Amino acid sequence: VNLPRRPDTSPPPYRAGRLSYRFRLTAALIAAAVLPVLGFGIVTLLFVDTADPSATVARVLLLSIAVSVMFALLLALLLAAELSSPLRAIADSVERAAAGEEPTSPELPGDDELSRLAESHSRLARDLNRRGRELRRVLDILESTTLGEAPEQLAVRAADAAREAFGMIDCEVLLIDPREIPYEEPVPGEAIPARAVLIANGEAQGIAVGHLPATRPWERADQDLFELFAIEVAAAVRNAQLYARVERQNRQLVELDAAKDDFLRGVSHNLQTPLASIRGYAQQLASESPDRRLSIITEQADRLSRMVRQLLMVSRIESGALRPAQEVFAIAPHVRRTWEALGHTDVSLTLDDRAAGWLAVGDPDQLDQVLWALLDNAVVYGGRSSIEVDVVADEAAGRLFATILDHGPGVGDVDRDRLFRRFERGTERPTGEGSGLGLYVSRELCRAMGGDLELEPARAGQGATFTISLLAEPPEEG
Amino acid sequence: VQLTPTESRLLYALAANLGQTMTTETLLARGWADTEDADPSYVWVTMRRLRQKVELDPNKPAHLLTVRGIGYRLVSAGDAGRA
Repeated sequence: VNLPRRPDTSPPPYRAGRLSYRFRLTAALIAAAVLPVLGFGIVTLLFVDTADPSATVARVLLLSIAVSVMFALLLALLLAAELSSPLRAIADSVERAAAGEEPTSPELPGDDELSRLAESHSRLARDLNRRGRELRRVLDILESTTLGEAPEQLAVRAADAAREAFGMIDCEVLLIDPREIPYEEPVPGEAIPARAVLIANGEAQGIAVGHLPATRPWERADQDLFELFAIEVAAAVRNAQLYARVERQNRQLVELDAAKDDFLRGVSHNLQTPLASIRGYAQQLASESPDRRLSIITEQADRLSRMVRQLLMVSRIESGALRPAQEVFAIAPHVRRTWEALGHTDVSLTLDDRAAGWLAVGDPDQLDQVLWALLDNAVVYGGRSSIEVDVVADEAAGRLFATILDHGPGVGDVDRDRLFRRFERGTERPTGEGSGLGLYVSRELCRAMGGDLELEPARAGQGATFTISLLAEPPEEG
Repeated sequence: VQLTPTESRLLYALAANLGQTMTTETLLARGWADTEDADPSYVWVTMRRLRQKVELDPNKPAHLLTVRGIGYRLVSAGDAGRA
């Protein structure tokens, strides 16, 4: 939107000579008052013989002329000073107005050039002062906008501010396409229409329209100020709109998140119940007539049940509801038991316990979940190669480290960064296996216990190597 | 002070036998009835952590006393001098 610019019609500036006004005024007065007397004196000198003793009259005359010239000079200087005093007063007033102070508005009698000058200067000073006040008022209003104020509310407040600041009869700020408001021609003697488009980022946000009393001067500077006001309001409106949008999206996200948590809880509960009965009946059948297929059903039901638990764990982690226990326990027995529960009898596991009796501090159930995920990963992604688990105590740091190493292809560079993210699976790994949550949940569980879970740098001849670290205590009596 | 379930069980067992020495084995049975691989070091470490929570100076315990080679004993403030 382009603002219409009026053509420049200002006349060429007035140029005076090099001499100051005061000097020229003084010169004119001297010329008017002193020259005739001086001329008379010269004529007297030329035609009267001052040497003649009888010419006393002439001498007195000459003396009086000299005195008159001196008086005239003095009078001319005084008059010049007096005559330029109104100009000085006007200049002072304008200077005060320019400095933002109340102008003094000198009043001169009559209707001549000087009184017109004084009047127009006073008006100029008053206008300048008024516009300064209006601008301050408008800026005050805009500064008082609070974050989160609705754009419509802001528009109402801006209209009130404009009415008050510009002394309008009425004013409206409309957040619509400016073309919808027809242009109003000013009619002499009636209220003056004023309009300004709200522009922010080169986009019309709306329009401010209003009317001014017919008696109020509405000049180009006033219109410029009104347009400046409109631009400031547009920026505030745009900010308010953006803020409202962000707020709305935020609310939606929070609602969606809550819905997702509810969904996850519902799903995991609805899955756990049938899984429990499948497992129960399979075990019951197996005890009556042992069958390899029944134990597979039991194993797979357990597996599924753990995945569902991981899913539930995600929403607990994200809502910050994880409250791990702070029990003391040895790590190696948990590794052994988890491995047995996994039931991968075709894969060999070497457990090297060098913890020297150090006990981990944390939640044994959570550690079981972590171990289950890491050992299961080691089997699946390690291509059923052998697995090594080392448990080491770092006595100086007061920590226990459990390292789980497989002999598979390891983790590619692409996957390293993504591995611990939610719902991510390695790109070079079998698809369809696992939930993509195991490592994410495991790391969060470890961290909640004051420990951590990390993927070790790749080394030749080794597959993926994960290290669990946990807080630990020495096994000393005391 | 926030005690873990196991710490509470041990403290309760010791308080029930105030002034008497309880063997490490007994405490182990009280605290870790459901844990398969528990050994005496579980009791030692838990007692140390318990002292850090309830004793003014955990290095000079006034209430939770070690009876070296046997077990532990809880004494009340008045008995501390005699113990």
